[in-house]
Amino acid sequence: MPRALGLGLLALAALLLALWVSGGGADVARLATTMQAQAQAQMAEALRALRAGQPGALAALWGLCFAYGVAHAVGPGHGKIVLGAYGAARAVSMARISVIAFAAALAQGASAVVLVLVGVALLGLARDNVTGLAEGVLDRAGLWAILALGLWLIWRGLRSVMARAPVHDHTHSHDGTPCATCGHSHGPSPAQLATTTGWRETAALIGVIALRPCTGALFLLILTWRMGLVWQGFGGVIAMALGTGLVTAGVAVLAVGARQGAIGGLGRLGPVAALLELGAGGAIVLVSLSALGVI
Amino acid sequence: MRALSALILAFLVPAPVAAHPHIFVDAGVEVLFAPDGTPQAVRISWTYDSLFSMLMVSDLGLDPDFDGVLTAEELAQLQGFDMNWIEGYHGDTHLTQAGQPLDLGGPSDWTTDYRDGQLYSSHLRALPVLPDPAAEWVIAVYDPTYYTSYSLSGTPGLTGRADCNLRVFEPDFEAAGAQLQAALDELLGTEADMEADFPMVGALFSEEVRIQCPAR
Repeated sequence: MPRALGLGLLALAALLLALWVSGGGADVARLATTMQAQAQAQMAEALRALRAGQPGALAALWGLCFAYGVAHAVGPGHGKIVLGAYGAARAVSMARISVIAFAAALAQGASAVVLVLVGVALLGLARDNVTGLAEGVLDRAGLWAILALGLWLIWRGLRSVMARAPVHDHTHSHDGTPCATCGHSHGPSPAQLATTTGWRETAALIGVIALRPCTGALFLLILTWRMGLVWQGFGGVIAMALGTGLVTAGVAVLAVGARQGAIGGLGRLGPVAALLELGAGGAIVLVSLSALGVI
Repeated sequence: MRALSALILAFLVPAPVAAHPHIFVDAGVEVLFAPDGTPQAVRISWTYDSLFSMLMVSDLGLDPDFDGVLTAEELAQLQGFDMNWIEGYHGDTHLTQAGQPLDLGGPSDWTTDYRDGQLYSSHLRALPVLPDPAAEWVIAVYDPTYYTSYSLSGTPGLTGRADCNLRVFEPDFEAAGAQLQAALDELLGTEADMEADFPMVGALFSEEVRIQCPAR
């Protein structure tokens, strides 16, 4: 397992280096996809090892989650683009936009946790109710599916309220997608962002990003829950969020830097280095605490 | 288990419009020729990434100890897990000649396996009569929405004919990336929803198997 962790972090370092040297582009996106695939495959191995109680497995899992978060965010991602637009359009400080980026990433992780917990609560009820009533399971499954749909609709409603921005009608359809309007964040346009001020709009910005939980986080949480590794799964999602936040904040800070005409040199590297420390520090704290047996 | 699966479905159903690949599949392609030399069918093999395999097996309530090993009975329950295609899903195998898409037959003769924590499956798709049998035709395996990232594993096979020319073309990542970026930039300047209107970039990032057989 330490080997998997080492590989994951090594790949992460290489990716970050490539990202900052090249300033983005097709090769980075390709590398990010390859790295995400590797992290995803190793995550399954780490989960299996963790469940089998192998030493170092938790650190490996969280390290991989962090790497996954970075790789995932380097690909074409919603939150990153919204924040990049915000940073480019608004007179906002690098510190503030960094905080927003990490808050959004962590809130996105939290929304995944909440969603899975809601589902699991339903599952728990379902199990209690259907114990010894095997033939009733299928009928109940239909009811639970309807309940889940209801919750989903409430979720969508909450999201619209939080976004506060006018939500345009979805008249377009996607071939092969039964419900074209499910699960989409209704992101504000750069023009709307440019005119936003104050904490409400900041909260809305975070909400817009947070309300579409990352599919990868859901994959992880569902598996860890079924394995009985609940808090370990939460830790993994936090590590993912730190990785995602690192990239998002980096993009936003670069956008702010470009707006301020402070591109290149130390003016660019200073905040980026601080972000690297912040993100990597968070992941290392998580990993080391687990290695020490504190959590 | 069912309730949670419904919840997962609630996410997987809208998922095709999400931005990044979330499932990674190694794809195999084998073209089968009839004795008279006409292309008859293509066998498509899929190897799913370990994490998605684990999730899928768990969704089905199999391998409760997560050791990656299924009993014979569990393996029997797994059969055909990915062959129940919902309406609007066409199997991610694309056949074209001179740029024109051609219809493939539905999936048949499928196989399913689970080894070392990974799901394997294969199926057969019947090939139509080609408009121009002597001209080049192209098979590509991709998810248009890029939710699943396919990559060709191994060399595509030609079974039943030895005089055909087969070439695998890598996607031009730089061009694909530039095209994607241009499409995203266009979206960014509008009221469009970045997630819902995410460009259909799967084809751009896909490898192509180009086959050309002399007329007989």
